Amino acid sequence: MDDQLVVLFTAFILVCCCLALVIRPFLTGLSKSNSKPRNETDDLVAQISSVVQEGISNAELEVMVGNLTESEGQELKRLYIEESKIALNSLEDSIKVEKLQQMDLLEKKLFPNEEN
Amino acid sequence: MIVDIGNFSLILSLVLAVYIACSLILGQSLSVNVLIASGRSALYAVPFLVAIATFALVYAFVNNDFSVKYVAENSNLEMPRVYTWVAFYAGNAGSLLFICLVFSILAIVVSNHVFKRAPLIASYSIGTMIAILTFFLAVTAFLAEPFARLANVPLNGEGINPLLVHFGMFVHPPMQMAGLIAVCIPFSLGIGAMLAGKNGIDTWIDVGRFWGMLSWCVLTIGLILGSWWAYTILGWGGYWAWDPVENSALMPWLVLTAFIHSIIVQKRRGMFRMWNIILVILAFTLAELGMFINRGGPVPSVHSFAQSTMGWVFLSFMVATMVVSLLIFVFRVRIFSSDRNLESAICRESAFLAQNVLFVIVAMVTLWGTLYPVFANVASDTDLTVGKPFFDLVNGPLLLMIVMLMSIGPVLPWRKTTASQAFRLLVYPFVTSLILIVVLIVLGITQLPAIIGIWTCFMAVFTISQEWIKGSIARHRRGENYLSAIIKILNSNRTRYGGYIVHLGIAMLAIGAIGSSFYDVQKDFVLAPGESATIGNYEFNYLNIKKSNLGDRIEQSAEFQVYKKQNNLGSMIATRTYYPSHNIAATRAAIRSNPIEDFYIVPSEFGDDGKAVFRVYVNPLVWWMWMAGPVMMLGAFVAVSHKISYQQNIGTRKA
Repeated sequence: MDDQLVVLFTAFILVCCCLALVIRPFLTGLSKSNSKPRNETDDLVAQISSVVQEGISNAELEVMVGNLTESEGQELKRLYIEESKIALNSLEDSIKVEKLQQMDLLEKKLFPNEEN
Repeated sequence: MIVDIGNFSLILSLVLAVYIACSLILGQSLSVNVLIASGRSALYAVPFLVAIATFALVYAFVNNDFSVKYVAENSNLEMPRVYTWVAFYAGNAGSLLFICLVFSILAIVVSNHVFKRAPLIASYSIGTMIAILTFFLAVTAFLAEPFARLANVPLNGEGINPLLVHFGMFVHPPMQMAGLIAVCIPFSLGIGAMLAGKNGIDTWIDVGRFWGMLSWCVLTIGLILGSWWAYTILGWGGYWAWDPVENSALMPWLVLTAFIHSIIVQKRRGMFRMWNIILVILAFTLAELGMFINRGGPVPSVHSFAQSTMGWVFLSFMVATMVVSLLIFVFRVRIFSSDRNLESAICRESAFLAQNVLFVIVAMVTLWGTLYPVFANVASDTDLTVGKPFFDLVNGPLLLMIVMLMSIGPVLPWRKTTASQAFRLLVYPFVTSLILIVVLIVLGITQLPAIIGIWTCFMAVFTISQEWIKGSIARHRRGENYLSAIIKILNSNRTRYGGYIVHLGIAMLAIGAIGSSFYDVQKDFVLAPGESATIGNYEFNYLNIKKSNLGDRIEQSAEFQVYKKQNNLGSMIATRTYYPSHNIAATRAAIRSNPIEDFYIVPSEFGDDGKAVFRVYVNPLVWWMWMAGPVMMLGAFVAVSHKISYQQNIGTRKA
């Protein structure tokens, strides 16, 4: 009998914990989840800038070791820029515009002789 | 009491998993963020609940609670306690519970990663993963029933399968099971990408490759450890028999290998989008087929330790997931079609495509060979076995072509390559490998398939070396010393150079397989204690035999003194253990291994007068196969650490 009570009590505790996890977002509303995308956005932007920077150094390395011609290296840089822009498109509009502008500036810096 | 709590936790985890799958998929499709947040929050409880169930079953094993049917079937009082963990997943119910535990932990890790890196496909992908987890939890809780009780409690259990009492069993089955279930991750990401429509086209590339690589790693470890276990304990001197269960783990590995290459083409050139989706669907379908074969499938295997009557459940699930995925695929074909075509027949994309096709063909040949006995039985009521000769004959040349492409593909430029470019890139590896082959022919390697095989492996090694050397020289010219140049090259593009290290491991594996397949020597000897025999350059003296009764088993150990060209190599002990309760004999071969060859003695039979039958092998180059495992893991770690470093950088920047 004692064992059964312990099992029932433990089961009750487990169910309560699970319900708490399920209900928590409904109780706290979206206030928390609204602020979260902003943090995730920051992370995403940081990652993209990291990708762009690493991508460029990789491209330079590839040119150096002779596997790619200068123009292929340039194309690689462009690929990273394009990719970053695609990734930025998934962000909220207000941030997207700002970040896309930054990306355009970076692109102009990398390809100063190109019109578009 | 603990067992009851475990059972309840398992059922509760199932209920929760159903909720999570629905909340994530519905939340995303109806754009109700709070529902997604609730699903993500609840996700944390699932591994916790499954861990409670796991703990309860392990607790029952440790306490010899034979009232639990599964414990009584897989343990006994004589079993060394250290093997409790192995006994836990030795049967059907425990292995399914283990899969649920691994899967639920993976779900949390993948969820955190994917919601951060690819939020647009995350809800659909994790929802798909949890829907699959729901199936496994349901089968475990209601069909396998790990906590089912026995009406009459026995005084002792039946004991663990003797073949599983081996050190390798602590790692091989968990890795194999985790690897097979991890194939679900790239599959879920692919399905998530398709469900997300236009938003998912290229969003899943990075996460798909990252998790594809990790799944591939786990499967690779499982396969290599499985071969090592077969080599040391099954006592037939080999490591791969093309057994149905071995094949069922190999097939998803082959398709996954194709996938982690072709996803690079999608990333770099925006091509192969639909092909990548097909590959992840195929890989997961083959992994499910493996589970079906292993759990009550129609093909007999020496590895089917988790045999049950629930094969049909896995078969039905396999068909259902395949049909649903293909339906989603059909609806998304137009969105996922690539707008770029191959620009040249000789370029890196073409090499990737050819390699992909070859991998899939090898997987399909293996599938055909594995299932043919079933078809033959249904069609003409005859019992057939498709054995090693068929697979060696058909898959051997195909695998050789893959190694050949491995040596050419990585150095070819993207888009197009001129003949002069290709010549410039490949001339040094070609000439160097050819010189080495001539040396080997002079030394006595004369079998043509072996010569071609070793030549392709050397080609791959020299191509990789050339890449590294060229980069190091370029950096050295700018003032860096060679060591720092080599490390910096690796660090500058970990994905690429990590891949090269993996390729080096594959070349080592292939060299081991070629050496041991074409130049192994095998001989049977009947010897009495004190007698000697000779095989190749080895002479061995059978010194004595020790027999001991250890309660649940009778162990006989034969000791040998071994010499090679008059040099004393020391003593070796080969063991044969008989388990009366299972009527099974397990052998432990005596192996002396070095990079040139293995000297391998396995006892076949012991007579009452001390006379014994021994099968003795000299297996060249097998050592390289076991060394290939750590090398491949190192390469894979380097390749995936690329992403890890991002996370670390971000963390540092924030701090």
